[in-house]
Amino acid sequence: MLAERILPAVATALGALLGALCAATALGKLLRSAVETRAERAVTRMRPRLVQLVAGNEGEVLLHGRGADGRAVDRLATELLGKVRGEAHADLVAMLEDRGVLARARRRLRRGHGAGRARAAELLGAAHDRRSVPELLGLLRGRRRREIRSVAARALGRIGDPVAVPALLDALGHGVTPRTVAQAVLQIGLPAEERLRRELLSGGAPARALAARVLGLAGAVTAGQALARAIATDPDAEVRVSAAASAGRLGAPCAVDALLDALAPQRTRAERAAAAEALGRMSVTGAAEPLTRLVGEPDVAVAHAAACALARLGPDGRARLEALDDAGGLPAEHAREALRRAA
Amino acid sequence: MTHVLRVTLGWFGWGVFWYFLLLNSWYLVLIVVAAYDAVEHFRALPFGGYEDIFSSPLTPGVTVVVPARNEEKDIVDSVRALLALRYPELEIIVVDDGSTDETFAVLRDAFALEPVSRVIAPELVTYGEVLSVHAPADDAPLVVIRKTGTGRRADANNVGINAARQPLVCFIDADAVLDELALLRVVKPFVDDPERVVASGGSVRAANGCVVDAGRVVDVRMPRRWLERIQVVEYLRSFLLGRAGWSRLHSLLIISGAFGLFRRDVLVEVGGFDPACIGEDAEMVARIHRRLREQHRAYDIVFVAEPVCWTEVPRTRSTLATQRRRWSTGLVEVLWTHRRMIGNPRYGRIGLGVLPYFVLFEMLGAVVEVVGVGAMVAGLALGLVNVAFALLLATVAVGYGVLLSVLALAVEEFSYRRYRSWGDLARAVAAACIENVGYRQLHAWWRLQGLLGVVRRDPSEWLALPRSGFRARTAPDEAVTTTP
Repeated sequence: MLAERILPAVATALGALLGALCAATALGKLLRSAVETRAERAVTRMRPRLVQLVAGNEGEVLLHGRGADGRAVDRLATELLGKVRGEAHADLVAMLEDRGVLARARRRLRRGHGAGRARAAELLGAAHDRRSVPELLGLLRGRRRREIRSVAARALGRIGDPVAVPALLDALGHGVTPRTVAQAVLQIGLPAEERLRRELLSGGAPARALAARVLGLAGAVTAGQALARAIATDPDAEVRVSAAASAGRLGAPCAVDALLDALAPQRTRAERAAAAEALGRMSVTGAAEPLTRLVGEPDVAVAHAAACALARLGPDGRARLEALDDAGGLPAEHAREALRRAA
Repeated sequence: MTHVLRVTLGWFGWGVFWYFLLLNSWYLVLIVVAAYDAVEHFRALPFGGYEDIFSSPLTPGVTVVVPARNEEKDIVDSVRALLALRYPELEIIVVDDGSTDETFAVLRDAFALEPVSRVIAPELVTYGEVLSVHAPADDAPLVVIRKTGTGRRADANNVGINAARQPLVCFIDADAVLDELALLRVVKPFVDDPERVVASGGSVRAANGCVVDAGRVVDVRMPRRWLERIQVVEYLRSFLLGRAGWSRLHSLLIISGAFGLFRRDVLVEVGGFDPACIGEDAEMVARIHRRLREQHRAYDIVFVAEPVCWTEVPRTRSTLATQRRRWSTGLVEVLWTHRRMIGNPRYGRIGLGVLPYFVLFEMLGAVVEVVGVGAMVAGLALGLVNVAFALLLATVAVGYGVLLSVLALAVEEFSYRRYRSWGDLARAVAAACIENVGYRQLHAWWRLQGLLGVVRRDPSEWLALPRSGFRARTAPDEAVTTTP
């Protein structure tokens, strides 16, 4: 029978495959173990010297490290870059520059393959390398894979050059997530404020929401009016929520009326909760009455935010919470929780 | 008559052979896809931006829900380890579902818990009554909720969802141990694609034999018993590489209840976990697929292979049998509950590919395997089957299974490489061989019993499997001690 001829051959082939797979796995393990052991030894040798460099001592010996030692130095320095600041960071960057690591990364940024470019962008971002900003902008604007463009955005944020803000905001609708862009713009900080305010007035909805959020996180105290306008009139609920949260964070008195209006029942639950929280942060005593009413809302998130806000309003707010506590029901539970947290 | 029986058995034998050839070949595809996924993962690891996620004020907060029932052995270590997880905005909620042991007492003593007020939003229907809520005096982000026991893990999960205040909710077994970066990594898909990703599952591995210190696995070793070693290989092949393969094909149907992360709004939208279902974790994922596909929403459910949740696997045959019977029953319940999706083009690849696969291979596989082995044995006993031919057929079928398991080990060795010693590799290869001769058939029998359990309507209460605790660092090499 055909089967009786084929089956032994298949069984033999399976056995051979199994043997080959075991042998390949064992060989792979052997080689990898050898390489890793060598690399680990080099890391153990070089780590104290690198620590000395970071601590401010001379790193002359490190500069001339070659082979496994050189690779260990580069690896350790690259890992440390994101964890140190100030002079130690500058020393590490100088050492990597002297060793040609940063120059190689800049070249890879222009000519490397996808993952190589991304690794280079990550390194140059961690090194705060302003020389690579044009290439990183090119990477961000180009038609590369989304993850590579995201790495470029993050690197630009770390470098902190305000020239990157327009390109970062433009990348919003093109595959880079709002969170990545927001984080990058936030790292650039106040130099991006003017552009963010313009975006809040005239950008697309995602850009407006991002601008509203980042202005608050960056501490842009002069953005109060723009945020108040956004809370009151922006057609997009997400923008209004972000603007309310930022107004509260900045403590913008000019946004109080807009925030009080945002407590109205026709607004979304996220908006009402954000407005209540903002009023609490700003300790707006005039908001006590509407916030007390809000604690009785059936929506738990809104009622909870209102109760917590009341607890931040001082003696009047706490007295109202105690009164609610006596009244019983769900509002009483909200009041008790808020009072506990405030205590 | 004998001739007819012989021919029938012959054709049946070939049918079973082709069935397993098809099943194993599909698994081969999944492992290859998972290997590609691992390569991509390691390629992208240096620029994953995890530090950025950790340091950003924009990273979404996570509520970790730990449903616990009679977990006095491990709960304190687990909670300590969870509190030490590397994540910027974290809240831990332990839901004590009517424990009859000292679960609450050990927590109260370890964390100086005090009764507190906390509003638990009645967004999901729950059955057990919340008795009290407790929090530590030192403001650590821990909440312990005591409720009356309903014997349903799903109910404890739903109470946790109601109490959760963060946009993402992570469910973790009370006896599980997470790697330090596990949460950051399992959150990354939500950060990378916040509009589409609604759930992500992390890989679960067997902690038996590993050394645990301060709630972290510090030394990964193979367990001493063969039953546990076989499960290590099984978890690797099926739960790590199998799910990574399904995920890469955008067809993930199961996120383990031991470690899964969901968007809270989606959990509330689909009505929370189903307390009537044993396999509430798989049922939840199936329901999310169903609801979001009915609404024509763009979404994704992903599996992240690198973050690791370590859990103790059964050490005895009886415990393992109980566990597997329940898994089998749970699967049938899920498939029955969502039978409308099976073969229905409205549900895309889930309806046309994944669910039919689960019916044909995961559910009926046990029947085919048990009947196939039984028929082969009967045929041999009656002299109706050529012994040499039957042996050859069995060799090829078993050999393919062994090849798959060894391939899974090879992928592990060339990628995640958690087991470092040569001895462990050799033991894993041996376990991969043993798994296919004896264990696999026994497993099929347990699964068949699980199927019959659905027909008999066996009780589907939350079953706490006996735990031995983890091996502590200070213990002698061969001793397995229980951490306090």
